[in-house]
Amino acid sequence: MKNLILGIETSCDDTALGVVDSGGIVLSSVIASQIDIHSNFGGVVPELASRAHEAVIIEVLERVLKEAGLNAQSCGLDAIAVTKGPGLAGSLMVGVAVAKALSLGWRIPLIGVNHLEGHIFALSLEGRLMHFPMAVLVVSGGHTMIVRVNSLGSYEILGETLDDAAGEAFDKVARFMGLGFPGGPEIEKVATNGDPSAIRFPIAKVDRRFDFSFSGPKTAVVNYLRSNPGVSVEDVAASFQASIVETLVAKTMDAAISTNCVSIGLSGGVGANSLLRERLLAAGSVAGLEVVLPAKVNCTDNGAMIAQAGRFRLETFGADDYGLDVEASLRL
Amino acid sequence: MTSSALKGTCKRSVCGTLNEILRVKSSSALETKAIGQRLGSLLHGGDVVLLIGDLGMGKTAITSGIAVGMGISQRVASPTFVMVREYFGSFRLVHCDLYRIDTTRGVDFDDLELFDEDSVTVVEWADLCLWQFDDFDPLVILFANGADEDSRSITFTENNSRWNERFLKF
Repeated sequence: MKNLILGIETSCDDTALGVVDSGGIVLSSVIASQIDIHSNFGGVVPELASRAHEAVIIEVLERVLKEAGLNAQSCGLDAIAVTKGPGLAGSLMVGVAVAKALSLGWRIPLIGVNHLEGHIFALSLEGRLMHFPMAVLVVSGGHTMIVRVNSLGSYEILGETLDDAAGEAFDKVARFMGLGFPGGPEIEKVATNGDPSAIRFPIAKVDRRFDFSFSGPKTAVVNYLRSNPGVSVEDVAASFQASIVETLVAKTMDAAISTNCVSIGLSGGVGANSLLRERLLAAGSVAGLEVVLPAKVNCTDNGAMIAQAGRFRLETFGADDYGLDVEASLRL
Repeated sequence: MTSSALKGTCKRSVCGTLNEILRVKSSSALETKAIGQRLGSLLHGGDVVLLIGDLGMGKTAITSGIAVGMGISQRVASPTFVMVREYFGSFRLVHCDLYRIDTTRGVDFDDLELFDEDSVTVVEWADLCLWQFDDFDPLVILFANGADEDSRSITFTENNSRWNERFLKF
């Protein structure tokens, strides 16, 4: 009895499905990003995300089942978990509609999952153990928050961004510098040849100690580039990355220590940034706190983390009924 | 008005015919937010506000002020990644951001329920598809750099005289 759960994630750009067993082992995980879709379709008529999810979700489903050694006829799954929010309503609806149809057709339980709880459960994939209380930094293009996980299912948001998410600041600065998309990996690449101490970008002041603000630092970089046209792009990228990483690590450590956490977790797309991983690991080691870093592919949006969170919800609260609806502004 | 009205093939750019209503200076993001708050108190259902300006000009800052002016206590965060966020105050505030979308050939807004008589819709990065909003008689706010790094020139414009009268109270 492997007890397999399929997770479906369509809250933003990526159509991501994954199959996870009862030990949290990822049997398969397939992610179709809209960047791929647009190039596959030869630059389609621009429209919002939901149609793009519709266009690929069945193909992604077939692939994820095949890679897990399953097929659509005999199914072999024990439950289906799907992101119900937060995210773009139309995109979420595609995932929820497909999940409901599969649940009905295969007669297996349906579970609605909070995307942010999914990111927290990414930390327990591949058999990793989580020790509580744990301070988790969820940092991506759409979110930046520090969550105190008291125990599974019990969360406290210690701080979050007041304006832009860290990943968004990376993307916008990258585009402004003429680098590619997504901006985080591009800045990371360019930054390897730059001097992180070349420019001192300001760190935003916030009223609440664990909150973030990345709009000001983003504007500071844009202003700097405007008034210093000859500047080394490598130095700007390295300095900007260093300043964002420094803020993320300092606040996460402060939050973890002052709320008596025994461990620290990192999740979300920006969690794939090597400098951030390295610095958080080092800071955790200095403070004597365990640091859990999921594989980079499990940091970015994926279906496996949704399946993993779905298993917890199913076992704790039971399945959802077919009245399950999307909640675009869902909070953790 | 239904969103299908947006599908009109009129390519005339609102931008070419914009009339200036008012120009104000802001010396900080905080001041931009205060200007937004004044504006928010003048807005009502069916209004469409387009924000035109480069990165870091204060588009999200003015929107967070608009929300306060509309009696919304929730904090306004950037909608860049999710593209749309909504808040509820005296009216529904729909905060939309087209930054990540290729808008050069227009955007298909159908089924998104962004525009109705009970909602104030604020759109960032609509620069390349302004023509799509003609039928809404939008208030178009242009942001430009001011004298120093933190200051901005904020110009309120429109393409008919629907907004002019309301700004007498501004």
